[in-house]
Amino acid sequence: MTSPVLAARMQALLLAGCHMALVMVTVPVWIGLLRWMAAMMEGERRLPDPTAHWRTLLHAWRQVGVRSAAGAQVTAVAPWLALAAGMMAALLVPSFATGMPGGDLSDVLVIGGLLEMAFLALVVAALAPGLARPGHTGLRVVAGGIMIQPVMLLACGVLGMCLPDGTLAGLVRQAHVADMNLVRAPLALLAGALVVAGVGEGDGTTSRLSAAMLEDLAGPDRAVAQYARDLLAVVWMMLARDLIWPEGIVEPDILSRSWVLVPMLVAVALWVAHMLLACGCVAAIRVFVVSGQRHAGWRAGLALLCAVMAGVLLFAGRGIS
Amino acid sequence: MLVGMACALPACWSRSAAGMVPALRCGWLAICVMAVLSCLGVVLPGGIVAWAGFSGNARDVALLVPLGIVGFAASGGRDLAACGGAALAVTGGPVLSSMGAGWILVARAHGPHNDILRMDVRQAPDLIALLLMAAVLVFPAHAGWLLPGLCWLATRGLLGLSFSPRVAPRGLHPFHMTDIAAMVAAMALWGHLPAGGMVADMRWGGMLIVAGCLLYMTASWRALCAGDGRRVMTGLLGGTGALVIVLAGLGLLARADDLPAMATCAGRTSMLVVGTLLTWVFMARAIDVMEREAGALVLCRLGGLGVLMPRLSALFSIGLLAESGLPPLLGFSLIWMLLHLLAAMPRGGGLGADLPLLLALMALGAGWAIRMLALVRIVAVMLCGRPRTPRGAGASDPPGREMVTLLLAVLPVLCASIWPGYWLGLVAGHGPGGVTWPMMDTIVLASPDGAAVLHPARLCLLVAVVGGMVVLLRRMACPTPARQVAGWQQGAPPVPPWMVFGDPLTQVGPGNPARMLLDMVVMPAARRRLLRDYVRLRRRMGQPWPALARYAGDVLRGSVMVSAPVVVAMACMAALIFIAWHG
Repeated sequence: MTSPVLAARMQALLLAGCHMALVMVTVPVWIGLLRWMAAMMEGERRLPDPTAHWRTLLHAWRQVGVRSAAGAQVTAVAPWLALAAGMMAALLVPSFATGMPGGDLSDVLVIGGLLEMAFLALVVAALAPGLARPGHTGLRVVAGGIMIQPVMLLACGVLGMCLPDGTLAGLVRQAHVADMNLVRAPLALLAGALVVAGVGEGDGTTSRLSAAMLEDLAGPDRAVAQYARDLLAVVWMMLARDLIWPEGIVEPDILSRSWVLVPMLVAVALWVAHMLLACGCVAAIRVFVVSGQRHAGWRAGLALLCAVMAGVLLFAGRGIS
Repeated sequence: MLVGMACALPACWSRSAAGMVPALRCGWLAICVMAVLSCLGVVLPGGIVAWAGFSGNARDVALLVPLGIVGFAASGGRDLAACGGAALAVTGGPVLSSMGAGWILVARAHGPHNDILRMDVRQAPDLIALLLMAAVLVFPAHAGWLLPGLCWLATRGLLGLSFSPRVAPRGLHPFHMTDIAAMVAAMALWGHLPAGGMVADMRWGGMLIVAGCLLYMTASWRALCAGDGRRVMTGLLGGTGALVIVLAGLGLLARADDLPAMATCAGRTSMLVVGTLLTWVFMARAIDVMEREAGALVLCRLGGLGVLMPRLSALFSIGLLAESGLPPLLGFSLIWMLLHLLAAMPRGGGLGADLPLLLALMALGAGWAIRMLALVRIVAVMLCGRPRTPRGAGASDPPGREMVTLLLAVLPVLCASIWPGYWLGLVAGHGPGGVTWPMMDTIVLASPDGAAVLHPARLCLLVAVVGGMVVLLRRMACPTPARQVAGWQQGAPPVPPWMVFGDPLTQVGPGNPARMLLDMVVMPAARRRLLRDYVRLRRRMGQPWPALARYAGDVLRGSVMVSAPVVVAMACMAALIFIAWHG
C-alpha cells in the first residue's frame, strides 16, 4: 500500500474517532437541553437542569445490574444491540467533516434502517420479560413509530432526484460546488418529516412511555438503553441538520494544508450552533404542533404530509425552471 | 431431471413411495449442483438438449439452482411433486410451463391429512387462466396484448396474491415448502412473457405496479392479523410475491420505453427476489422444527421460545431480519434496488405525471411498515415473553445434527446477503465459454443510471466492526453479570420460580398490534360505526349473490367431486383441441 493511501486512511480513521467522540459525549447534553427548552416553552416554573441527564445516566451505570428473570437472555443483549445500531448510524452521519470511513454508505435508507433497528431492539428489550405494562407500552411505541418507513422511502426517493448518488457525502460535495437554493425547501421539508416521525423526545407522553418500557431494567443495561434512545434522537437531528445545511460540513485535506484546523473548528462550532437550533425546533414541534393524547397518529400523518409536500415542491420547482 | 420428475410425481399419490423421499432429495441436490456448474460455464457432458417443447434457455437453467435447494430441503412427497411441477414450468416451453404451474396448484391442494385428491374450487380460475395463457402464448397474434393480465391471473394462486384483507383459515393456507416452489414457477412464467405492443406494455406496466403496491399492503396486513405462525409466513411470502408483480410491471415499462439499463436492473432485482427465496427455505425448515418441538404454532398458545430454544431462535431471528428489509441483509438490498427502480421509472412532464411515483412510494412504504409490525408481532408473541401452555414450555433446542442442518440452510442466506453480486453473477446464467465468474466490480449493487451504488459487503463489515467494539465494551465495562429477579406485575403477587407460565391475559397477545394500528388511523367508536354501516349495506345490497353462491356450493358439495388429475387431464385435452383447431 502506498504512503498517500495509508495517510488518507489514517486521516479517515482520525476523523471518525473525533466525530464519534464529539457525538457520543454530547448526546446527553443535547437531550438535556431539549428537555429544558420544552419545559421552558410549556411555561413550567421549575426548569430542569440541562446537565442532570448526564448525571442520571452515570448513576444508572454505577448501579448494580438487575433484570427480570423471565426473558433475561434477550434483555441482556437487546440494549447493547440498540447501542451498536445507533453507533453505526452515528458513524454514517457526518457532523463537521466528511471523509470518514463508510462515507459511501451514508444513504438515508441505510441510516434510517439502522436507526429503525436500534428502535426495534429497544422495544424487544421491553417485550422480553412478558410483563403486562412494559410489553403493551412497547407495542404502543412501536405502532406509533413504525410509520417512519414510508417517510424514509419518500425521503430517499426525493433525495435521489436531487442528487446523483443520494448519499450525504454526495450532498456535501454538491453543496460545495453548486447552488443549493433550488432544492433547499424540499430538503428542509424532508428533514422536518424525518424529525417529526423519528424523534419522540421532548413530549410528556413519550417520556412516560419510554420510562414504562425500561422499568424492568436496572444498572448498566438500563443506562445503555437510555443512552441508545437518546442517541437515536440525536442522530435523527444530525441527519436533519445535514439535509438543511450541508455547507456547514468541510471536506478536509490535512495532507496538503497545515492550517486546516481553523475551518475544522469553525465547522464544529457551526455544528454546535445548528444542533442547538435543532433542539429548539424539536421542542417547539413537540410543544406547539404534535402534542396530546393522539400524538402518534398526528406525528405519522404530519410526517407523511411533509414528505409528500417535499416531492411536490421539487417537481413543481423543476416544472417552473 | 425428467427421471427425477417422473419419480416425484407418483410420490404424491402413493404412500409406498414415501421411502423414496431421501433418494429424490439427493436427486434434487444433483440437479442443483449441475445447474450451478452450468451457470459457472462448465460444459456438462451432453450439454443442454434442445428438445421440442422445452425452452433450453440459460436463464431458465439458473432458476433451477434455487429450485434444487428447495427440492433438497423438501420434507415430503407433496413438496417434491411441487418441485417437479416447478421444474417443468421453469424448463418447459409455453404449453409445458403452464402445465407445470397447473400441477403445482394441484399438488398444493393435496393436504397432508387429505388422502383423496380434491380440487379446490377457488383454484379453478387460476387453472383456466393458465389454459388461456398457454393458448395465447402459442398464438400470440390474436390476443398477445392480453398476456400480462392473463399471467397475473394465472400466477395469482402461485404467488399468494389477493386484495382481500381477511385471514380466515379458508382463505389463507399455511406456509409450506410447496409455496416456495410455486413462487419459482410463477417467476419463470413471468420470465417467459414475450414482448407485446408498446402501448399495451406501458398500460399493463403501470397497472401491475399499482396492483403490486396494493397487493403488498394487503399481504402485509394479512400477515399482521393471521392467528397462526405458518399463516403469518404465508402473508409475508405473499408480500414477496407482490414485489414480483411490481418488478414485472417495471420490466414491462422499461421494455415499452426502450430503457435497457432499467430492464437489466429489473431483471437483477428479480434475481435478488429469487435469492430471498433461500431465506424462505431456511424459514420453512426452522418452522418445521419449531412445530415439532413446541406444538402447533397457534400464536395464542406460544411464548418464550427465545429462552426455551435460544440457538434456534437466534437463527430464526436472522431469517426474520433478512425478511424485514432492515440493513444489512438481503431484504435491505432488495428494498434499495426497488426504490431506485421506482425512482428511475419513466415519467411524463408536469406534476400530475410525477404524483403517481410519490403515491406508489407511499403505498409501498405503508406496506413495509405493516410488514415490520407483523414481524415485531411474531417476535413479541413467539420469541419473547413466557410460555402460555405446558406443551410450549416443553420446547427445547433440537439435537446437534438438526442444528447443523439449519446452520447449513442459513449459510446461503448470509453469503447471498454479504455478496449479492456473486449471487447475481451466478444466476445470470452465463453460457458455456462465457464469463465464468463475476468480477469484483459486480459485488456492488447499482441503480439503473449507475449513479448510486450500494456496497453490502462494506455494510456488513461496518456492522461487524461496530458490533465487535460494542461486545468488547460490554465485556470490559460489565465484568459482573446482572442479578436476575422475578418481575413485579403491578400489585399482583410475583410469579413463583417454579411456575414458568405467564398470564395469557396480561402478556402481549397476537391481536394487539393490529388493533393499535387501527386505533391510530380511526378512532374505535368511528370504526365500530363504519363496520356496522358496512354490514347493513352488504345485507341490503348483496341478497342475490349469497343465494347464487349457496346454490353453486350445494352443487359442488353434493354431486360433483372434482378430482385434480381429472381436471388437469381435461385442461390438457382442451388445450390440445384448441391447438389442433387453430393449427
